[in-house]
Amino acid sequence: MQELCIFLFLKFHYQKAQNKHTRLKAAVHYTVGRLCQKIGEEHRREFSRQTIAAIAETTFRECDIFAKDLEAFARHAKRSTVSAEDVKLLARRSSALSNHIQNKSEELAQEQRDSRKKSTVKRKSRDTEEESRE
Amino acid sequence: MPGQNIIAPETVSKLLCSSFKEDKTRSTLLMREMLKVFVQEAALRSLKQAESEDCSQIEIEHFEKVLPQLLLDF
Repeated sequence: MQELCIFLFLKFHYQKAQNKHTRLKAAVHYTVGRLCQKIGEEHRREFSRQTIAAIAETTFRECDIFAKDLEAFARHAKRSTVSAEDVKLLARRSSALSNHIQNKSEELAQEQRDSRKKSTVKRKSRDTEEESRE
Repeated sequence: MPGQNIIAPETVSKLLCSSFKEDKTRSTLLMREMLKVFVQEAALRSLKQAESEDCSQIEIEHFEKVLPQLLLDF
């Protein structure tokens, strides 16, 4: 009886994990399809369904490899969190890709700095308003 | 004997997650860019291959031809 309970418990969680896996794959397939459609339209050509499926599958598998690499990089740096530097390292094989990711990283850093400045300015103006009311 | 307050581990992790200021960290945004570039490269290279072969539709054979170099670049 106990073995049966354990078996059912494991089966339930395995299926849950599988469902998540399938849903993720479907999400990747959908997004890849949309990107391919857009590129196809821009160049007046169409991607066959088989090609889209193949690109989606390759992307999904490549993402798995990326995740393992990122984990290894973070562990090597004795960190438990993956950082932006780890992602930049991932893009090291092609100089064009490396530059693109570096630029994007700087762009994002600038956006974050700007949004933080805005929130402190808002807070300061709110504080001075309250002061003047008193 | 004072009552013991045992907070479930899930509650603790939820509390920690809610204290993160940024919903989307820089590393996840960069990963999103990496994957987007990957898909775009795969699609554009397959398209260029199809164009060089004078094909109107991009077939899986075109993708297969560009796949090795794509994986080497990434």
